[in-house]
Amino acid sequence: MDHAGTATGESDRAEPDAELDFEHWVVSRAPALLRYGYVLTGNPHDAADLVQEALIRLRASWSRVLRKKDPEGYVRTTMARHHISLWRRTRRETLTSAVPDAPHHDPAPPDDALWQSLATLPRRQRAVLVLRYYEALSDDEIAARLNITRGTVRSQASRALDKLRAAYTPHYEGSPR
Amino acid sequence: MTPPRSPLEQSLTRSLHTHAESAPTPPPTLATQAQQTWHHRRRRRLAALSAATAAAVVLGTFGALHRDGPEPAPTVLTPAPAVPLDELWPDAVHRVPRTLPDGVRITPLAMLDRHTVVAASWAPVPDDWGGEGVTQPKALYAYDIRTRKATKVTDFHQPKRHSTTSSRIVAGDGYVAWQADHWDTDDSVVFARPVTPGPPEHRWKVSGSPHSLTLVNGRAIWASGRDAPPALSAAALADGSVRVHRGGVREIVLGWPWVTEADIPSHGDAAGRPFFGQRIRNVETGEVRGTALTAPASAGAACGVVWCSLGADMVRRDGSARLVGATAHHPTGSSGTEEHTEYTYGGTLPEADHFLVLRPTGPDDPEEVRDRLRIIDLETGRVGEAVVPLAEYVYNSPDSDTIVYRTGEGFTVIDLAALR
Repeated sequence: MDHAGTATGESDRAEPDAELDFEHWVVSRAPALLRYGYVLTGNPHDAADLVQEALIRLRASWSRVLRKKDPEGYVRTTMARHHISLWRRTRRETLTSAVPDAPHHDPAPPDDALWQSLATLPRRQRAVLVLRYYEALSDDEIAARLNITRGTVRSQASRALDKLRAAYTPHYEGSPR
Repeated sequence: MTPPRSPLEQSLTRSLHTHAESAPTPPPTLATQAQQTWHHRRRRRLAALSAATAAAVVLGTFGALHRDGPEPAPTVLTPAPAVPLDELWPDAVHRVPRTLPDGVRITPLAMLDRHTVVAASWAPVPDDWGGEGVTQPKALYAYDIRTRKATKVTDFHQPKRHSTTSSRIVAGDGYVAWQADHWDTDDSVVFARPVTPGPPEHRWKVSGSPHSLTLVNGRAIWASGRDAPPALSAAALADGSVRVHRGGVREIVLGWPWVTEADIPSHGDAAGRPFFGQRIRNVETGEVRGTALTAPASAGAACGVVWCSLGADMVRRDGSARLVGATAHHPTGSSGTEEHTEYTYGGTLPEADHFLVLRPTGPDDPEEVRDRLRIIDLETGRVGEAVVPLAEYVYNSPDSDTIVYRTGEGFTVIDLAALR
């Protein structure tokens, strides 16, 4: 008897249509995902790693995710949760935060101190702020995306904003002090 | 959407969107890379399962993977069925209360030794313009897990316009040390004192964004070098004297006395360019070690002193052992049933160069799966498991030897050093 696949019953054959669809989707969404990854992680290396890992997972679940018609939601949720779950102390993340492979020119915006201060927040607090102020999600939506309660979203956001106040200098933006 | 309500929130929104435009440009091969990595992982997993079956490898033990060719075959390890953490490692799992008898709330930070947890109480510190400011340590405590009593070690000291985080507080060698960073400059102050009541015994002013603060062999060690000459500093805890070793590149302490270059890509690539941890240096002896992983097999690799991560696999630096499929398809339960949950490990490298700490992260994971915390001992393949909701803050100490999460009214502290 001929058997396709392996002893586990899984086939490793390529799925041409799925791969084509997947690649089209990635090409169209990659810039936005990298922007999202960048504000989540704060540095280009980790953003690239995070997007890559989420896309690999998306590929593994592509058919199932397509049936639900929300690959974007799947990837962004995976990225947020994956980033938070990376609880390992980030000595080296801090170290390499400003060392991209290629020359990297930030525009040095007036809110730079806030951006720098985001790097001092625990990952979950940063993720809550990113989802609230970059993704413009409601607290209920943030709770669902991070698999936490709405109360935790609020308390994490409150603590994070408290910390950012230390670095917030409205003076630099033209506001009277 | 929650609309911005304050100038701070408006500035934050603007800052995030402005900086998002500085995100890296996606490489043209991004989709192809994801496809290939997915295929590669799948093939490796399936091959590992086949090899394990063919070699009649007993789960949880080492077996030999026989290959053609002259090089010695690596030992192949597969994860054992998961068992509860506190059953597997009862001497390493500790409970610490959140509130002391006098009402002070503490957070465990690190293990000083096998029976003492260093913890901190916290309080908001006003900022320069009358705001509530940031939450900072108020005092440090030593909690004895045998007597269940806490002793206040010291009120927390740091200069004005400085702040610290839990990751800047370390314990070891009978001492606790902490690093306070200036808000506006790359200057910091490092404090240290024995874990007995009293004020800080040492205070060192440091420039160049110090990091990797470690207490070992009677010294406080740190590295520095952002916008300053790269250096490794060793301060004697006995007399406070500091020896500074200047180097040509910024280095990071992987596990004293081993260091590696800091400013290097996280992972290897197929072209064989240098990657994090590929070359390590023993500061005390000058010994330099490479790794048996060479391109293209090193694509995706990052190395600690002993173990390298390679996607879902963990490989010893010298190539002598390999744990396959660590992040997927663990056997589970006493029957060792295969399951299809993808796990992820934190950061780039195994914790304490010995353990893989895993969480499932798939949005579609069923409820009974998604709160799992699994720790794999890379040397034995044993797998400990706990249920830790994502909402319960999980973190580890800067030296990666301690994992902490909330349980009920207190904390669970896992002392990884006790498992070695």
